[in-house]
Amino acid sequence: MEKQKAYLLTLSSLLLLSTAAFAMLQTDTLDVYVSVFTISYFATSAVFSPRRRRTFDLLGLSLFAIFAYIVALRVLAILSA
Amino acid sequence: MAGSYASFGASVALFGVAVSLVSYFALFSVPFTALGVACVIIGLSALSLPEQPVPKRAVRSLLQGAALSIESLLEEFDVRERAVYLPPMEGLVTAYVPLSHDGRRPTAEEVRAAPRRVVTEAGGVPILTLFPPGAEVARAAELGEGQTVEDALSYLLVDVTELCSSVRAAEGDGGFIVEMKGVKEKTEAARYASSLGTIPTSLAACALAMLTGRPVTLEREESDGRRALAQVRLL
Repeated sequence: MEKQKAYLLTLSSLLLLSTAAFAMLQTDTLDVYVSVFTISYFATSAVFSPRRRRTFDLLGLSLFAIFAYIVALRVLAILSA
Repeated sequence: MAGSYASFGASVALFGVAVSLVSYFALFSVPFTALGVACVIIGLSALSLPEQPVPKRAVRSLLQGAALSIESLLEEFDVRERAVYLPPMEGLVTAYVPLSHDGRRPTAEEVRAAPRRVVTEAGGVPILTLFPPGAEVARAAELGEGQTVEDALSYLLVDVTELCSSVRAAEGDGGFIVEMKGVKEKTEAARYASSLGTIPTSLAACALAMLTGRPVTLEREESDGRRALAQVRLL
């Protein structure tokens, strides 16, 4: 199978499976989902290293920024407690 | 889905935006909002992938056809020497084959200084100048920027043309050793294969000339059914 298709299929499976799993666990905070999505995105990109269009990976940067924000909030919550 | 990553990606991303907005502001459902976000990520990932408008089977057939055209030229000139692939001057890799059978081979500079004709003389050696079939494919694939040799060869031979299922490349001994597994196309042009290499090897040589910026020649090629091993020497 073409690498790009395998990448897209794996990423889709990971994201949808993790959504279903967290929904079944009745997780009601969006940051948990987004954190797992971010990890899935970077893990899939690292494994398949798909060739992209000649544009900056804005999606990766955005996900990383959101992930860093979520982690920072959690760290602050722990420190203030 | 081939050739339509952009439309697929845009549709899924827009669907994801709609689902997440409705779920967050109207349904107040976190799992459905997350599902929308997942769709946005999948859609944007698909959008970032390059298109492949020409079917790979068609690309391979075109390469076979071009190789057969060159084969008739090689037969006509009774070519027996190995070809030398020159790095691109105007974006396109060229190859030359010495027409003399005494083993003399002009340097890349002498070839470049020679008049640009199909049959010309460089450094006192008559040569046949060719545009190998892989030259245009390698140029269109825009190889070189931030890619390792193995990544570039894998992209060209596996993703773009599907000439084989996997490629490994190792540098050493004044050149590269390229291992291709699951080779799909059998090169029908025998003289082409003995001079320029089989089609996958020829494509690899074009890519290596492009990536290294140095002339390359095929030193050795072994084929064991669906596995091929090529030793490409940098000149």
